[in-house]
Amino acid sequence: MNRFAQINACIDQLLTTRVSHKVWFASHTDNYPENAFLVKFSRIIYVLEGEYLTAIGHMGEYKKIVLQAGEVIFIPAQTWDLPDWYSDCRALTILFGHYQIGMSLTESSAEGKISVVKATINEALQQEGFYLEKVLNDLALSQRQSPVSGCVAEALLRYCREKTVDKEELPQSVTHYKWRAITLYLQKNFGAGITRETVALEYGISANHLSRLFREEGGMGFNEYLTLVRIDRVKMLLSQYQMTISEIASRTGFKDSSYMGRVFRRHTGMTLGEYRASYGR
Amino acid sequence: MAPALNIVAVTSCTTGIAQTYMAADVLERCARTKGYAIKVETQGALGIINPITPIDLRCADVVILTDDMAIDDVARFAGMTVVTVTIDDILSAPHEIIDRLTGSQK
Repeated sequence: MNRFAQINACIDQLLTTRVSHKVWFASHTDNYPENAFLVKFSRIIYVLEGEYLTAIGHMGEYKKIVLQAGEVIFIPAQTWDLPDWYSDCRALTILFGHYQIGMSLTESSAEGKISVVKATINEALQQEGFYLEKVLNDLALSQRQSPVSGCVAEALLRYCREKTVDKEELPQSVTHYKWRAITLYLQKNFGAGITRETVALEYGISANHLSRLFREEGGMGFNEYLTLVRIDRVKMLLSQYQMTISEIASRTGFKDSSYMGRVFRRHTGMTLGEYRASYGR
Repeated sequence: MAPALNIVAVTSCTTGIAQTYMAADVLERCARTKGYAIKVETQGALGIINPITPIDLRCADVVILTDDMAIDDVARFAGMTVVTVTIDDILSAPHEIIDRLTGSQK
Protein backbone atom coordinates (compact mmCIF):
# COMPACT_ATOMS: atom_id res chain seq x y z
CA MET A 1 0.00 0.00 0.00
CA ASN A 2 1.46 3.40 -0.79
CA ARG A 3 1.77 6.14 1.81
CA PHE A 4 -1.34 8.03 0.80
CA ALA A 5 -3.43 4.86 0.68
CA GLN A 6 -2.37 3.99 4.23
CA ILE A 7 -3.16 7.46 5.54
CA ASN A 8 -6.43 7.66 3.64
CA ALA A 9 -7.57 4.32 5.05
CA CYS A 10 -6.99 5.70 8.57
CA ILE A 11 -8.82 8.94 7.82
CA ASP A 12 -11.77 7.09 6.30
CA GLN A 13 -12.01 4.82 9.29
CA LEU A 14 -11.99 7.76 11.68
CA LEU A 15 -14.60 9.61 9.63
CA THR A 16 -16.97 6.65 9.48
CA THR A 17 -16.69 5.45 13.07
CA ARG A 18 -16.67 8.66 15.06
CA VAL A 19 -19.46 11.18 15.14
CA SER A 20 -18.28 13.91 17.43
CA HIS A 21 -14.74 14.92 18.24
CA LYS A 22 -13.65 16.57 21.43
CA VAL A 23 -11.07 19.19 20.54
CA TRP A 24 -8.28 20.36 22.83
CA PHE A 25 -6.48 23.61 22.10
CA ALA A 26 -2.89 24.27 23.05
CA SER A 27 -2.27 27.83 24.13
CA HIS A 28 0.65 30.09 24.78
CA THR A 29 2.35 29.97 28.18
CA ASP A 30 5.22 32.14 29.36
CA ASN A 31 7.30 29.11 30.34
CA TYR A 32 7.39 25.73 28.69
CA PRO A 33 9.50 22.58 28.94
CA GLU A 34 12.89 22.82 27.29
CA ASN A 35 12.35 19.91 24.91
CA ALA A 36 8.83 20.94 23.91
CA PHE A 37 7.84 20.97 20.24
CA LEU A 38 7.42 24.50 18.97
CA VAL A 39 7.33 25.40 15.28
CA LYS A 40 6.32 28.23 12.98
CA PHE A 41 3.26 26.51 11.54
CA SER A 42 0.08 25.16 13.09
CA ARG A 43 -0.58 21.45 13.59
CA ILE A 44 -3.56 19.27 14.36
CA ILE A 45 -3.46 15.77 15.82
CA TYR A 46 -6.28 13.26 15.40
CA VAL A 47 -6.11 10.29 17.75
CA LEU A 48 -7.11 7.16 15.83
CA GLU A 49 -6.60 4.35 18.34
CA GLY A 50 -5.40 3.93 21.90
CA GLU A 51 -4.43 6.73 24.25
CA TYR A 52 -2.35 9.71 23.22
CA LEU A 53 -0.34 11.20 26.08
CA THR A 54 0.90 14.73 25.75
CA ALA A 55 1.37 18.02 27.56
CA ILE A 56 0.19 21.44 26.40
CA GLY A 57 -0.36 24.94 27.66
CA HIS A 58 -3.91 25.19 28.94
CA MET A 59 -5.29 28.40 30.48
CA GLY A 60 -1.73 29.67 30.77
CA GLU A 61 -0.55 26.59 32.69
CA TYR A 62 1.41 23.44 31.86
CA LYS A 63 -1.08 20.59 31.67
CA LYS A 64 -0.66 16.87 31.03
CA ILE A 65 -3.53 15.39 29.07
CA VAL A 66 -4.62 11.97 27.85
CA LEU A 67 -6.59 11.84 24.64
CA GLN A 68 -8.84 8.95 23.67
CA ALA A 69 -9.53 7.71 20.17
CA GLY A 70 -11.60 10.29 18.28
CA GLU A 71 -10.23 13.23 20.24
CA VAL A 72 -8.31 16.00 18.55
CA ILE A 73 -5.71 18.52 19.58
CA PHE A 74 -4.99 21.74 17.71
CA ILE A 75 -1.67 23.51 18.20
CA PRO A 76 -1.42 27.02 16.70
CA ALA A 77 1.82 28.26 15.18
CA GLN A 78 4.49 29.20 17.74
CA THR A 79 2.68 27.24 20.42
CA TRP A 80 4.25 24.26 22.14
CA ASP A 81 3.23 20.71 22.91
CA LEU A 82 5.20 17.78 24.27
CA PRO A 83 3.97 14.34 23.25
CA ASP A 84 5.09 11.36 25.29
CA TRP A 85 5.33 8.41 22.92
CA TYR A 86 5.25 5.75 25.64
CA SER A 87 1.72 4.48 25.10
CA ASP A 88 -0.12 2.25 22.67
CA CYS A 89 -1.45 4.76 20.22
CA ARG A 90 -2.10 5.51 16.61
CA ALA A 91 -2.42 9.16 15.68
CA LEU A 92 -2.39 11.33 12.60
CA THR A 93 -0.66 14.70 12.76
CA ILE A 94 -1.30 17.22 10.01
CA LEU A 95 1.10 20.13 9.55
CA PHE A 96 0.02 23.30 7.78
CA GLY A 97 3.11 24.75 6.11
CA HIS A 98 3.42 27.85 3.95
CA TYR A 99 3.62 25.77 0.77
CA GLN A 100 2.67 22.27 1.81
CA ILE A 101 0.36 20.25 3.97
CA GLY A 102 2.28 17.49 5.72
CA MET A 103 0.88 14.32 7.22
CA SER A 104 2.56 12.04 9.68
CA LEU A 105 0.88 8.86 10.85
CA THR A 106 2.50 7.67 14.08
CA GLU A 107 2.12 4.33 15.80
CA SER A 108 3.67 4.05 19.21
CA SER A 109 3.72 1.37 21.86
CA ALA A 110 4.16 1.34 25.61
CA GLU A 111 7.87 0.57 25.03
CA GLY A 112 8.15 3.82 23.11
CA LYS A 113 8.84 2.20 19.75
CA ILE A 114 7.45 4.26 16.98
CA SER A 115 6.73 3.74 13.33
CA VAL A 116 5.77 6.46 10.97
CA VAL A 117 4.29 7.01 7.55
CA LYS A 118 4.73 10.49 6.10
CA ALA A 119 3.07 12.06 3.09
CA THR A 120 3.07 15.55 1.68
CA ILE A 121 0.47 17.49 -0.25
CA ASN A 122 2.26 20.07 -2.34
CA GLU A 123 -0.06 22.98 -1.79
CA ALA A 124 -0.93 25.13 1.18
CA LEU A 125 -4.43 25.36 2.64
CA GLN A 126 -6.68 27.19 0.24
CA GLN A 127 -10.20 28.51 0.17
CA GLU A 128 -12.40 26.59 2.65
CA GLY A 129 -9.36 24.81 4.11
CA PHE A 130 -7.70 28.17 4.73
CA TYR A 131 -10.75 29.47 6.59
CA LEU A 132 -11.26 26.26 8.60
CA GLU A 133 -7.74 26.51 9.98
CA LYS A 134 -8.41 30.17 10.82
CA VAL A 135 -11.52 29.19 12.77
CA LEU A 136 -9.49 26.73 14.85
CA ASN A 137 -6.85 29.39 15.47
CA ASP A 138 -9.55 31.74 16.62
CA LEU A 139 -11.03 29.14 18.96
CA ALA A 140 -7.55 28.41 20.32
CA LEU A 141 -7.07 32.09 21.14
CA SER A 142 -10.48 32.39 22.79
CA GLN A 143 -9.76 29.41 25.08
CA ARG A 144 -13.40 28.48 25.41
CA GLN A 145 -15.22 25.30 24.51
CA SER A 146 -17.36 25.85 21.46
CA PRO A 147 -19.94 23.44 20.10
CA VAL A 148 -18.58 23.94 16.58
CA SER A 149 -14.96 22.99 17.28
CA GLY A 150 -15.51 19.26 16.68
CA CYS A 151 -17.29 19.88 13.39
CA VAL A 152 -14.58 22.27 12.21
CA ALA A 153 -11.81 19.80 13.09
CA GLU A 154 -13.68 17.13 11.16
CA ALA A 155 -14.26 19.46 8.22
CA LEU A 156 -10.55 20.24 8.05
CA LEU A 157 -9.79 16.53 8.02
CA ARG A 158 -12.29 16.02 5.21
CA TYR A 159 -10.68 18.86 3.28
CA CYS A 160 -7.25 17.23 3.62
CA ARG A 161 -8.70 13.84 2.73
CA GLU A 162 -10.01 15.24 -0.51
CA LYS A 163 -6.60 16.73 -1.33
CA THR A 164 -4.93 13.34 -1.06
CA VAL A 165 -7.21 11.73 -3.65
CA ASP A 166 -5.47 12.48 -6.91
CA LYS A 167 -2.03 13.27 -5.60
CA GLU A 168 0.31 12.37 -8.37
CA GLU A 169 2.08 15.68 -7.66
CA LEU A 170 0.22 17.90 -10.08
CA PRO A 171 2.46 20.55 -11.54
CA GLN A 172 1.26 24.00 -10.55
CA SER A 173 1.04 26.84 -13.00
CA VAL A 174 3.48 29.74 -13.00
CA THR A 175 0.69 32.14 -12.04
CA HIS A 176 -0.09 29.98 -9.03
CA TYR A 177 3.51 30.19 -7.81
CA LYS A 178 3.44 33.93 -8.36
CA TRP A 179 0.26 34.25 -6.30
CA ARG A 180 1.80 32.22 -3.49
CA ALA A 181 4.97 34.29 -3.52
CA ILE A 182 2.90 37.47 -3.25
CA THR A 183 0.73 36.12 -0.42
CA LEU A 184 3.91 35.29 1.51
CA TYR A 185 5.22 38.78 0.80
CA LEU A 186 1.98 40.19 2.22
CA GLN A 187 2.24 38.02 5.31
CA LYS A 188 5.70 39.44 5.96
CA ASN A 189 5.13 43.07 5.01
CA PHE A 190 1.53 43.80 6.03
CA GLY A 191 2.80 46.14 8.76
CA ALA A 192 4.40 48.53 6.28
CA GLY A 193 2.14 50.85 4.32
CA ILE A 194 1.80 48.56 1.34
CA THR A 195 -0.96 48.98 -1.22
CA ARG A 196 -2.08 47.20 -4.35
CA GLU A 197 0.10 49.60 -6.36
CA THR A 198 3.34 49.19 -4.38
CA VAL A 199 3.04 45.39 -4.40
CA ALA A 200 2.38 45.39 -8.15
CA LEU A 201 5.48 47.53 -8.63
CA GLU A 202 7.54 45.21 -6.42
CA TYR A 203 6.57 42.22 -8.59
CA GLY A 204 6.79 44.05 -11.90
CA ILE A 205 3.15 43.57 -12.86
CA SER A 206 0.29 46.01 -13.31
CA ALA A 207 -2.13 46.69 -10.47
CA ASN A 208 -5.02 45.28 -12.49
CA HIS A 209 -3.07 42.13 -13.27
CA LEU A 210 -2.39 41.75 -9.55
CA SER A 211 -6.09 41.95 -8.75
CA ARG A 212 -6.89 39.39 -11.43
CA LEU A 213 -4.21 37.05 -10.05
CA PHE A 214 -5.80 37.20 -6.61
CA ARG A 215 -9.34 36.66 -7.85
CA GLU A 216 -8.38 33.73 -10.06
CA GLU A 217 -5.89 31.93 -7.82
CA GLY A 218 -7.03 32.84 -4.36
CA GLY A 219 -10.77 33.27 -4.77
CA MET A 220 -10.62 36.63 -3.00
CA GLY A 221 -9.49 40.13 -3.86
CA PHE A 222 -6.11 41.60 -3.04
CA ASN A 223 -7.42 44.05 -0.46
CA GLU A 224 -9.63 41.41 1.08
CA TYR A 225 -6.63 39.14 1.54
CA LEU A 226 -4.44 41.90 2.95
CA THR A 227 -7.17 42.97 5.36
CA LEU A 228 -7.58 39.38 6.52
CA VAL A 229 -3.86 39.10 7.27
CA ARG A 230 -3.95 42.40 9.17
CA ILE A 231 -7.08 41.50 11.14
CA ASP A 232 -5.46 38.21 12.12
CA ARG A 233 -2.52 40.07 13.58
CA VAL A 234 -4.79 42.58 15.31
CA LYS A 235 -6.61 39.68 17.00
CA MET A 236 -3.34 38.15 18.10
CA LEU A 237 -2.02 41.42 19.50
CA LEU A 238 -5.31 42.21 21.24
CA SER A 239 -5.53 38.86 22.94
CA GLN A 240 -1.89 38.23 23.82
CA TYR A 241 -0.39 41.65 24.48
CA GLN A 242 -1.25 44.73 26.51
CA MET A 243 -0.64 47.13 23.63
CA THR A 244 -2.68 50.26 23.12
CA ILE A 245 -5.09 50.38 20.20
CA SER A 246 -3.07 53.00 18.33
CA GLU A 247 0.12 50.98 18.79
CA ILE A 248 -1.64 47.96 17.31
CA ALA A 249 -2.92 50.03 14.38
CA SER A 250 0.55 51.29 13.52
CA ARG A 251 2.05 47.80 13.79
CA THR A 252 -0.50 46.18 11.54
CA GLY A 253 -0.42 48.74 8.75
CA PHE A 254 -3.80 50.39 9.37
CA LYS A 255 -3.64 54.10 8.70
CA ASP A 256 -5.32 55.00 11.98
CA SER A 257 -7.03 53.33 14.90
CA SER A 258 -10.56 54.46 14.13
CA TYR A 259 -10.32 53.03 10.62
CA MET A 260 -8.94 49.79 12.12
CA GLY A 261 -11.86 49.73 14.54
CA ARG A 262 -14.40 50.03 11.73
CA VAL A 263 -12.78 47.30 9.61
CA PHE A 264 -12.42 45.04 12.64
CA ARG A 265 -16.04 45.44 13.54
CA ARG A 266 -17.16 44.68 10.00
CA HIS A 267 -15.10 41.46 9.97
CA THR A 268 -15.71 40.12 13.44
CA GLY A 269 -18.99 41.69 14.55
CA MET A 270 -17.19 42.92 17.67
CA THR A 271 -15.48 46.11 18.69
CA LEU A 272 -11.78 45.99 19.58
CA GLY A 273 -12.59 46.38 23.26
CA GLU A 274 -15.19 43.62 23.22
CA TYR A 275 -12.71 41.29 21.51
CA ARG A 276 -10.01 42.02 24.07
CA ALA A 277 -12.46 41.55 26.94
CA SER A 278 -13.55 38.12 25.78
CA TYR A 279 -10.31 36.79 24.24
CA GLY A 280 -7.62 38.55 26.24
CA ARG A 281 -5.33 36.71 28.60
CA MET B 1 39.43 35.29 14.10
CA ALA B 2 37.37 32.27 13.13
CA PRO B 3 37.57 31.49 9.44
CA ALA B 4 34.42 31.98 7.40
CA LEU B 5 32.70 28.69 6.89
CA ASN B 6 30.04 27.56 4.48
CA ILE B 7 27.86 24.92 6.07
CA VAL B 8 25.11 22.81 4.54
CA ALA B 9 22.92 20.62 6.72
CA VAL B 10 20.03 18.20 6.41
CA THR B 11 17.72 17.64 9.36
CA SER B 12 15.19 14.87 9.74
CA CYS B 13 13.50 13.21 12.71
CA THR B 14 11.39 10.09 13.15
CA THR B 15 7.95 11.69 13.18
CA GLY B 16 8.84 14.67 10.98
CA ILE B 17 6.43 16.78 12.98
CA ALA B 18 8.49 19.34 14.80
CA GLN B 19 12.09 18.53 15.72
CA THR B 20 13.22 18.57 12.08
CA TYR B 21 12.10 22.19 11.82
CA MET B 22 13.24 23.25 15.27
CA ALA B 23 16.72 21.85 14.61
CA ALA B 24 16.90 23.75 11.31
CA ASP B 25 15.99 27.01 13.04
CA VAL B 26 18.46 26.55 15.84
CA LEU B 27 21.32 25.61 13.48
CA GLU B 28 20.64 28.67 11.36
CA ARG B 29 20.63 30.90 14.41
CA CYS B 30 23.82 29.50 15.92
CA ALA B 31 25.77 29.53 12.68
CA ARG B 32 24.73 33.10 12.00
CA THR B 33 25.84 34.34 15.43
CA LYS B 34 29.27 32.89 14.68
CA GLY B 35 29.37 34.57 11.28
CA TYR B 36 29.15 31.37 9.25
CA ALA B 37 26.96 30.86 6.20
CA ILE B 38 24.51 27.98 6.49
CA LYS B 39 21.75 26.37 4.47
CA VAL B 40 19.56 23.75 6.09
CA GLU B 41 17.38 21.34 4.12
CA THR B 42 14.53 19.83 6.13
CA GLN B 43 13.18 16.37 5.39
CA GLY B 44 10.04 16.11 7.50
CA ALA B 45 6.35 15.50 7.00
CA LEU B 46 6.17 18.64 4.84
CA GLY B 47 8.46 16.95 2.32
CA ILE B 48 11.81 18.42 1.35
CA ILE B 49 11.98 22.13 2.07
CA ASN B 50 14.87 24.43 1.16
CA PRO B 51 16.66 21.74 -0.88
CA ILE B 52 20.44 21.90 -1.15
CA THR B 53 21.41 22.58 -4.75
CA PRO B 54 24.53 21.41 -6.60
CA ILE B 55 25.84 24.98 -6.31
CA ASP B 56 25.39 24.91 -2.52
CA LEU B 57 27.32 21.65 -2.47
CA ARG B 58 30.18 23.06 -4.47
CA CYS B 59 30.50 26.03 -2.09
CA ALA B 60 30.12 24.02 1.10
CA ASP B 61 33.09 23.37 3.40
CA VAL B 62 31.31 21.03 5.74
CA VAL B 63 28.08 19.02 5.98
CA ILE B 64 25.94 18.34 9.05
CA LEU B 65 23.59 15.37 8.82
CA THR B 66 21.18 13.98 11.38
CA ASP B 67 21.10 10.21 11.73
CA ASP B 68 17.74 9.65 13.43
CA MET B 69 16.25 8.65 10.09
CA ALA B 70 17.78 7.70 6.77
CA ILE B 71 18.40 10.92 4.85
CA ASP B 72 17.19 11.04 1.26
CA ASP B 73 20.02 11.06 -1.25
CA VAL B 74 23.10 10.95 1.02
CA ALA B 75 25.21 10.04 -2.01
CA ARG B 76 25.44 13.72 -2.96
CA PHE B 77 27.67 14.35 0.07
CA ALA B 78 30.23 11.68 -0.90
CA GLY B 79 33.80 12.89 -0.50
CA MET B 80 32.85 15.87 1.67
CA THR B 81 33.57 16.51 5.33
CA VAL B 82 30.45 15.15 6.99
CA VAL B 83 29.58 15.56 10.65
CA THR B 84 26.81 13.21 11.77
CA VAL B 85 24.77 14.14 14.83
CA THR B 86 21.42 13.29 16.38
CA ILE B 87 18.48 15.66 16.43
CA ASP B 88 18.75 15.76 20.23
CA ASP B 89 22.40 16.86 19.97
CA ILE B 90 21.34 19.79 17.85
CA LEU B 91 18.47 20.80 20.10
CA SER B 92 20.41 20.45 23.36
CA ALA B 93 23.87 21.75 22.39
CA PRO B 94 23.82 23.48 19.01
CA HIS B 95 26.78 25.73 19.72
CA GLU B 96 29.04 22.77 20.48
CA ILE B 97 28.19 21.23 17.13
CA ILE B 98 29.04 24.40 15.28
CA ASP B 99 32.28 24.69 17.28
CA ARG B 100 33.16 21.10 16.43
CA LEU B 101 33.02 22.00 12.73
CA THR B 102 35.98 24.34 12.90
CA GLY B 103 37.98 21.42 14.32
CA SER B 104 36.85 18.98 11.65
CA GLN B 105 37.77 21.49 8.95
CA LYS B 106 41.24 20.66 7.60
